[in-house]
Amino acid sequence: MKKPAPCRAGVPEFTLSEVEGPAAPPPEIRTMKKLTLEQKLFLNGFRPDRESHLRIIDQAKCRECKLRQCTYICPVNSYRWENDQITVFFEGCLECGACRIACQDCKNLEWSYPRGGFGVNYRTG
Amino acid sequence: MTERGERFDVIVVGAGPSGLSAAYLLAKAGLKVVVIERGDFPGSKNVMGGVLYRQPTEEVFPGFWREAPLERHIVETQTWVLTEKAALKAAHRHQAFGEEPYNSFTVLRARFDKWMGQQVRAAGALIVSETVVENAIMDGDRVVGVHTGRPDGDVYADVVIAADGVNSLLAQKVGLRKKEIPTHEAALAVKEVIALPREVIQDRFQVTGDQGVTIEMYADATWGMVGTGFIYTNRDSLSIGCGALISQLVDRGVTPNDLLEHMKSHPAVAPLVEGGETREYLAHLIPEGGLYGVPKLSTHGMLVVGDAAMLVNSMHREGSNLAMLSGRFAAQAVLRAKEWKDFSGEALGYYDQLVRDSFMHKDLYKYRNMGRFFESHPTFFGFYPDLLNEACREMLTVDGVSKRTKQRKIFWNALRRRMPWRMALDFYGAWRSIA
Repeated sequence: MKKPAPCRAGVPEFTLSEVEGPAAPPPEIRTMKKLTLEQKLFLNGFRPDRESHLRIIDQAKCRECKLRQCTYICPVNSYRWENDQITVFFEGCLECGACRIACQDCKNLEWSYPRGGFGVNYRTG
Repeated sequence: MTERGERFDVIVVGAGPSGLSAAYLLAKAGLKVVVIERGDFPGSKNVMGGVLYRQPTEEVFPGFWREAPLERHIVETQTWVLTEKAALKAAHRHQAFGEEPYNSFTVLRARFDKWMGQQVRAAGALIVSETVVENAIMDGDRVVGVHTGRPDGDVYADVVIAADGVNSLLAQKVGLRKKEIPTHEAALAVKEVIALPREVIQDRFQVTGDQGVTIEMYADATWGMVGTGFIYTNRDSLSIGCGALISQLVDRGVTPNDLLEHMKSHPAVAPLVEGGETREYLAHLIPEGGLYGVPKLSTHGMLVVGDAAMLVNSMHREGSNLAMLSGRFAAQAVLRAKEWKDFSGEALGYYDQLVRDSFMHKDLYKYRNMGRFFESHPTFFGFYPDLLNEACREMLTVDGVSKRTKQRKIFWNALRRRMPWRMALDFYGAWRSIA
């Protein structure tokens, strides 16, 4: 056990700044901006291929699909319901495979990795 | 069968923790090894929450923590139970965790895996990046090589190690994985890396130097779905993310990005990320099938390791360590097969045996029913967290009501909302599923 610190009785009062000098200014902090998904994707490094690595096999099946889970399960909103069909915005794909799992009952999605050297390039991971 | 392509002793598909561990040990033992990676460099496609354990990593790379690019060593582990406006927090900190050789570290995969790749190269293995393995080359029921996306890209070897991650198309094509992962056995996690000054992180998380903190969050962090939220401290950034079972995301119609924004705006989380600047947005699938999700691990000429083999202990957020351990076992099995000059499924079955005899299998067995239990008992992610936080609020609010009255109020409130025998069953079941 260490000895307790000696009693401060009789010691003249002082302020912290007298002992340690003026406090260093706090690091500059800006408030956190709320980014939209599109803004977030601008932060990532992508090298998009010309052709999509994700392919809807039969659009007619998607028209009958009740849930259309691909339109909301994708972390980057790659699948959008436009003009009565699914449009795939593969350029922002993070290659996670969630759509592949979510659409497995219909088997209406041909899922593959982008060609070598293409797709997302994480800097942090 | 004629071979028109280069020949190696071992082909490792995928430069993640499992593949690089296997490749490193095999190359060190003098085998001719090639690692085929589809990203620009090892790590450029890899994502994890961010905790790397020292002991399993050291089994492969002795003394790695002295030179590898690590972020912070973890001295404190926090668990939070959130409701919409409240948080109940538990934390454990031990001085020993702050002393060399440390217990665990936060890492940024892209940097750490790049370093691992350099070690593997130095050990004598060849790493071919920007190359996708499209299929296995079969000779009967035997895997003899892989077909890559490059022109004249056939590569042959005695053994192929499939370390191609959770989506393992290779294991599927060869038939080791019979079925697609069911939606309730995979979690989708999204993560942001948020830059903050070093001093701010140290102040907010009450650590000094390179010490770090992990926070796991339950209940409202995932809107009551089975899953977790997390905050890990890096050197000058935070890794913050959340994940939930795909089945539940689909049922609830939740978009992962909305879920993450919801968690970031929680009154207990927002002050920690305030002023931060998002640097990257990432997504990853986590195999949550537990023991029952693990496929057959070996066949003639091929082994499956890491996430590709679904080796994840979701209860203790252990994935990368199991990946490295399975990579090490795979290397052992291949070395023995090489010695015996027998690469049949029976000889490589030694790998299955090593996995079965290890703590990894024991842990997966222990929690084999956990996933199913919590999926069918949503009360643990909604009702009970609510009850706990309300009880705390009641007892801590000073409003002229006697403490005994408050206790009674809490007690009767709980009983009114759920029958006591149901609560007893809930907790008995929960205990059974994790004991």
